[in-house]
Amino acid sequence: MTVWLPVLVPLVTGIATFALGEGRSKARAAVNLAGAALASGTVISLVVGAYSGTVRAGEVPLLPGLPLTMHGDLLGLLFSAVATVLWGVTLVYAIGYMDHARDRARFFGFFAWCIAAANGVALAADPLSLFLFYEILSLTTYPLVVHSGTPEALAAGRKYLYYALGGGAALLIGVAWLAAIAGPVRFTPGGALGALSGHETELRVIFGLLAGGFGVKAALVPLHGWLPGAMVAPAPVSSLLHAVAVVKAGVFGIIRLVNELYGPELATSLGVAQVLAVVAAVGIIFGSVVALRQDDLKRRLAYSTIAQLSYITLGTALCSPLAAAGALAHLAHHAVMKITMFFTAGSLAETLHVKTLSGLPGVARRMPITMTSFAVAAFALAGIPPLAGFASKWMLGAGAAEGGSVWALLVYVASGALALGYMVPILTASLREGNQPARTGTESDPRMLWPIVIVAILSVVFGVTAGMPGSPAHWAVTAIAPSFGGWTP
Amino acid sequence: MSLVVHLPALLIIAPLAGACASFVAGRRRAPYVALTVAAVNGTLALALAARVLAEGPWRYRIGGWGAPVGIDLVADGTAALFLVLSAAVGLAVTIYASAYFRSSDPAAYGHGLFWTLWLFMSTSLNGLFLTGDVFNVYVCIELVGISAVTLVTLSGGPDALRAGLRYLFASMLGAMTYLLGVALLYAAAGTLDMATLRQTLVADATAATGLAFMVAALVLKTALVPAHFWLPTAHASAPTPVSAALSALVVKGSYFVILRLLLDVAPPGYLGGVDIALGVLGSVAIVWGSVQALMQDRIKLLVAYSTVAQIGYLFLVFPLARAGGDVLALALGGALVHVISHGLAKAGLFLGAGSLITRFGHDRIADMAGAARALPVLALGVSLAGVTMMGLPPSGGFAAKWLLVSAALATGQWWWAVVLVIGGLLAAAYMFRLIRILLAGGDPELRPSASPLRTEWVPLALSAAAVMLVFAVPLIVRLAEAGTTLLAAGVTP
Repeated sequence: MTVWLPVLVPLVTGIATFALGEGRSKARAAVNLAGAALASGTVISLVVGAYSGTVRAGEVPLLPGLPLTMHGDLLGLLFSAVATVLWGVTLVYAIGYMDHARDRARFFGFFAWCIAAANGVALAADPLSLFLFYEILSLTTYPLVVHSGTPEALAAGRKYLYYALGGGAALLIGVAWLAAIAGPVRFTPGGALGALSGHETELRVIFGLLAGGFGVKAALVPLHGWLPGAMVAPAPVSSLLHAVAVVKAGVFGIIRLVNELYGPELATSLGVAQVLAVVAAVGIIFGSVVALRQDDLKRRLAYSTIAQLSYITLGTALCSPLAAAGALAHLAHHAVMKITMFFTAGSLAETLHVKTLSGLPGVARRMPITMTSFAVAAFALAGIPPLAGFASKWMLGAGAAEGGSVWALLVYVASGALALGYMVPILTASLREGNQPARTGTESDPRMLWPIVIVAILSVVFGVTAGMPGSPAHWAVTAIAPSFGGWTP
Repeated sequence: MSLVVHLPALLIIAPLAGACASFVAGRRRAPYVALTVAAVNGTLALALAARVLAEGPWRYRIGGWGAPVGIDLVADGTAALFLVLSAAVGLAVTIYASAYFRSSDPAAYGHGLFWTLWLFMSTSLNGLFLTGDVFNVYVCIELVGISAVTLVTLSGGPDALRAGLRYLFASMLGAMTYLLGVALLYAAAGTLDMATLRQTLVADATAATGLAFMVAALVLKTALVPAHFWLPTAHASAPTPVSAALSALVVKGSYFVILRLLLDVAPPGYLGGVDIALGVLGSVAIVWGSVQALMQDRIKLLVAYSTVAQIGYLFLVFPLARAGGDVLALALGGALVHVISHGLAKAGLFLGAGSLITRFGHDRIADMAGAARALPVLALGVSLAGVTMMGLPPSGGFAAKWLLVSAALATGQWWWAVVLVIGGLLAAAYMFRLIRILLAGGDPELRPSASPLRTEWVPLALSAAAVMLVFAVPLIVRLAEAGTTLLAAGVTP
């Protein structure tokens, strides 16, 4: 039962939000924050159990021979914890950000449902269940992308749907085909398809379909086209969904696919992992280079996200234990770093109406705390020690070298330099003398300021504590080890 | 002697008595009669399904005569599923209609004749699902057709009359062709009882021709492309509750008989390549209906063309069923889940569309922007119905698609799987065209006209049921398995 709560609690929160209606904003805030607290609590209790060796599982009958299955393993819980805890932080921010907006019941309702779906993706124990929640995530995100109802938002929403539903169709065929040749399979560390031989070609095609389906949300180049456009959504949506829950559901799917469905060994021997690695490497360079040339702040961050997601995909596709653990750690680290940046972009747009680099001069003086937090996250993302980005990139790079893929190490190093290249101009521009109006009172709504500070602090903490038990990096190593036969670093 | 064994007869008697009572009761009291009948009908249908699940199918001899002299009713899993669907949609439509017709001019719906015709149609549908005899199928189908045509023309407007006339033509042509087929089959086989036919049917040109005529007639009645010409105008110009009943139930009635004839009565491959031809036509219907739906500017026509497309899925079962065994179970399960999920969702969609038309005062999709803010319950109902039309999880439509795709892949007939996936994407295209307008900004001061709450909640309840149906799939599959055994063994208690 407990294993369903991370899905059920946000689901019920969403229903309650819709039932409360548009008017009662205090009750809505209370219900949502309580829901986030309760959901975080259940995830944490699952984590404590999983660390001590009791993995909770559950299933309900669904299709003939194919039940809906869930399990609270460490791998899934890492993603679930990131999504759920950051949901709470984002709620505080969103309550401030959406203070005078319209259609807030719809916004917070679907927001909660997105988290329910993301938790389902995280904890699903078999490919069909994962696919189910993955599609629900697509559907529940759509109303948030088009939230403003403007023609621009509707166009972005249409593009999002084309990509998401196309990816979903590829996944459906892949999952159904796999079920036809392999029967019901569960995710198993190290791979679940060991006994299949003589199906090599089919397995390659199925891998392509599944990786392509997940690749849409993981913004794997060339399937990334929807992401920059979807940034027209309100800032909390960009922050939580397009930096954390939705895009991470894609990379998480790839992690499950490589490590626990095919297994690193089979993925390498079929040659599919190598192809995926090359595609991801192209994505890293492409995203970083395009980010250099964006004037729009959110678009710059979106292209950076495309590059960073491909970090995770590349680390997973290298099939070397340390790189795979680094990839999983980067899933959590990138979440806190990027959410800081999107929060900042939202604050700048909402408080000062600054949305582009050219509008930044004077901002650092006007909003020092916000911009300091942004600077911390930016340096963390570029991999400056001892911040969060450094820890995961170190693992990724060292893992690449360990696995003999020196080219991948070079890609990581080059993209680190490029990350500085697209982040530093934001900082220098904001430090320049500008004509921002003088400050009155706090620099922005406190409900928008404090969440930024909290996630920026997390970007430091995750880096500093990387070696300690309970930190995301350590957790990632523990979660990935079984896929590589109990490997220890 | 428990009353339970008389359930098949009660399922015909109860709505028939209601139809008579509603005629006598008059315009004001008729809705209460109909609501009572809908509740009773639902209870009886559930009881019948429960008994089939517990003790398997049984034959009911009216008056104790038995075939070949008397008339036999057959209560098996497939029949139970259609009966439960019919009862559920019937209840929803009745509740909705009690509000829908109250607000309009009494003359616009034939002074209360709606209720009598509607209950009469429910009676004939129940009879159709229960009959075990190919001639009684003819009788029931004629009765369904006559009441349906009359219901379409209730409003009396020129559009409705034109659509009704076209519908009448198709209905008559279908019935005549079916009767001709029955005559040929009787000449060759010497019996009209389905179970006897199944045991005695041998390869014979006359019998095969008769069966082919019957199937062709039923295909026309089910509006499979290219015989769909009558459906969009008839379903779109009827009063909203009638549209819902026609799309959700009436076309399923003739489909039910095709299932009986091709999967229960005739041995596999009896009609040669007809099963593959039906699959091909089904695929064409999926694509053609969806493309037409995509091009409609009026909401009810969009929904009606969506029916043309969704009917196509139902015919993919025939080429897949050839493989028999587990694959047959998968494919038949998929088709039955689709019958139910589409029935619920399409009724929800039509009723929701009707409410939108009433509230906005027009039926132009392009001018419905802002509905999600002004009418959130209706917008959610329409969107959830869309989810199951697209076959996206979690919904009954998804389960149906999954079962059919699995059956296709298990037999290596991957092309049907491709059709299913493309159909889902096309459905997403036409449904999201509607949903995105509902979500669009629109006029912030939009104040649609008032209307009773049930015109919003009934569509949502139907769509939500279609979505939640995904959790009832094991039950449906069990009932479907209890369906094919009866005629196979010729069970007689």
